Amino acid sequence: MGETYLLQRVARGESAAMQACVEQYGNLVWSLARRLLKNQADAEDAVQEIFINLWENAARYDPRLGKEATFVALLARRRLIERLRARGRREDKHEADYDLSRLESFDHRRIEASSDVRRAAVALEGLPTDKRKVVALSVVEGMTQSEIADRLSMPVGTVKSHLRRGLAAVRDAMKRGARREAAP
Amino acid sequence: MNPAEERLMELLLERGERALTDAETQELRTLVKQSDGWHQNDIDFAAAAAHFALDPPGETMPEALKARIIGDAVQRAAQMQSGNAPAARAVAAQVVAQPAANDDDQRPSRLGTWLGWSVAAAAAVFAVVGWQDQLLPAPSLAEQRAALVEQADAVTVAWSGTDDPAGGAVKGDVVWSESRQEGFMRFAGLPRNDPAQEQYQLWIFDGERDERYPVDGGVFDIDQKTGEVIVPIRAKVKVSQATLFAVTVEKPGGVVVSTRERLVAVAKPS
Repeated sequence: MGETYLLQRVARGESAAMQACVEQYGNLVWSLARRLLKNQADAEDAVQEIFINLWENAARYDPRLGKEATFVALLARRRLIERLRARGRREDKHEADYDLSRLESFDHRRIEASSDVRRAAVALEGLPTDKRKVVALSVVEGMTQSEIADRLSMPVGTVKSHLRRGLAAVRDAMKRGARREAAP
Repeated sequence: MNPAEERLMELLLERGERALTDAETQELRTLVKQSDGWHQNDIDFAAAAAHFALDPPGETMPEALKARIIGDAVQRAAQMQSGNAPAARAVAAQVVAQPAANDDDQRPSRLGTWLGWSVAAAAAVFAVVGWQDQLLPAPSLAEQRAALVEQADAVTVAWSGTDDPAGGAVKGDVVWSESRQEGFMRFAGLPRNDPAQEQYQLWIFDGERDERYPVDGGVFDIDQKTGEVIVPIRAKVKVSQATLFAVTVEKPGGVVVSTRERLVAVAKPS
């Protein structure tokens, strides 16, 4: 049974599917939580909440919108970013530690991941480094657009434009890829 | 991108940073409907994929945490099989009331808390209509508050400031529904706090409880200097008869019993 059906089984209340889901996506969700929340106890609390949210929303997964792992990440990121927002957001701003220098020579061929992520990587590789940095600080560190502007000494308007264009490029690449996959 | 798509993107990105206003939420829905193939969640999907492309997951979930989650899952599955599973929650907790201690091995399962909140939360579930609206963002806090105000038993009480330096300019109100055990605080003029130093904490005095031990309504932060802030109330236990809402300043994570040294706002239902 392919991964597409795991969440459908979760939605039916299959205990084994829920456990498999934790096994399959636990490290993914945990990695996101550790990246965005830093604090271990807070991350643990958030991850428990994320899985509850996943059980509740499993029936809403639609494979036409993206891979199952991407859907799990979407839900997880949403909850984590809500936490950041609710907690005054950047109490740990100083801990934003993503190494931007790795983006100077970004190569999508190094990425071993699902088709969604590979397509995203190709699109990101096609961006100028400045745009890629803006996207990285937004999606990896959860920084606001004004925080990114401060970090990169860049006008907020430029950050907003870079982020719009950068994520639009990723979105378009994913859509094109999904259409090709769906084509007979 | 055409101007409409630029605006659509702008709203989707803003949605990730703050609660959209009702007008913005409506505008977003309209733009999505009018767009050529856009979906509300396109950018979230793109951001999630980009995240993994830029920062592949490499951490391993602690075994103790995995065991807790699987334990919760087994209980959840049993409830679903018996037909007793609560409806989906509309909103994840937005106020983080941290435990006083961080003993990882003694951290409680979230299931109990989740079940306790489920009745109130189920009432806030929003309708999901059609594919296009799947996984719509949770209603904004302003929308949720507006819906609660319409409840027959909802009471809305204005905040009064205090002599505390943080309480002098407080304006806003609190709305509370006893039947839903749900409420929202609206503030203007409450100073931004540094969560590493101190946090605000809500206390709900219950006419059926000893007033020395008001109900913990949740720890929260104010993260913007100006403008209106809406904070959902997360009462830790059932409140039978709310007689007073009070906000204090406490150490990060909040306290179990407040000394009430720094009282910054009160609201007393008539």
